[in-house]
Amino acid sequence: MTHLKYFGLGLFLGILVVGTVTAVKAYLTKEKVLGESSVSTATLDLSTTSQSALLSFEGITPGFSSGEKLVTLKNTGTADLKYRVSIEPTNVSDNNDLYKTLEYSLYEYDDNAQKTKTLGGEGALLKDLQDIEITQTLDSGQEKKLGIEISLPQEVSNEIQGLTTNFRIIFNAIQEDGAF
Amino acid sequence: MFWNTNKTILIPFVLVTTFLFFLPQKARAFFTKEVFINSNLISAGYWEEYDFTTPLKAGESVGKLWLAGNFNVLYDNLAKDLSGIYTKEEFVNALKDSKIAGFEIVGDTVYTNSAQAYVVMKIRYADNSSREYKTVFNYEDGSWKLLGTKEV
Repeated sequence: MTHLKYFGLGLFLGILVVGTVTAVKAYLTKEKVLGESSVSTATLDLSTTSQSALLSFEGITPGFSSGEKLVTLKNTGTADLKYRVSIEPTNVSDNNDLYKTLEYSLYEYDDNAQKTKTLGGEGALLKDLQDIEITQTLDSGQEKKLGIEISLPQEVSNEIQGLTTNFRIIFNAIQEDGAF
Repeated sequence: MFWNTNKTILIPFVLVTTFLFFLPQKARAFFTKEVFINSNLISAGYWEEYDFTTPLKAGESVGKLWLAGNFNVLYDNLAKDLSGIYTKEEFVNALKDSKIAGFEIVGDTVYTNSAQAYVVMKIRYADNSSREYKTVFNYEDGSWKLLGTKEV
């Protein structure tokens, strides 16, 4: 029994010593510099030429069209990006019958300013302009135009006379290889 | 042995730790940015003419607006003493369910003074019942504005 105790004590001490040496060795290391390496994150940033009041019209009547209003989007970050567009009423009271009646069209342009695609159109309601993904991506430093047009259909209720609505346009960008 | 006696605690511990460790990494998997174009404003004008140049024409216009449920325009033709009590939104919400089936002006205009007059409007409801209302107008800013109605 005594031998067994000593064996156990020896085993414990052995583990302790080996463990201590191993731990100490971990700190007794040498560093050799092979050359400088650096890692930095890309930046994702987007700017628009119009920052407010792109679509502001008063006293509109049935059949109104804003005409195409162009906004230039520029990728001011270092990462390539893609983006989508949404519309949101500014306040709860702005989500009124006028807002629900307005229609929209979106026009995509390539980097040669050539119109490439139309989204929305007749019957497409502005209130449904939610998370519409734009096909044209923006490489770092690149800028492209996006056209937006809103209209009030000819056949609308007289009840929307005198109504006002405020809203904002939201551009939601993500790195090009990302998923919304 | 250790596992069997402690698995009740170990299983939720492992699950929660894994969940808390990996979820934020997944949620921040991509760089994103939101940009806004604020302060876009659209207001609708008026495309149906409503005449408020005399108390009688104003009464006809009030009836047409009420019949159409067009309380936005009706609010724009309220006398200051009435429009000062409600916002347009409150006014429209208060009246939006008070639809009528028809109306007619009964009798002639009665002038209380040079700046106030009333006409009696007979309102017909969907159940074919009808009521008469004294409809009072104030002369303000060149036209007759609705001050209020009272059943007679």
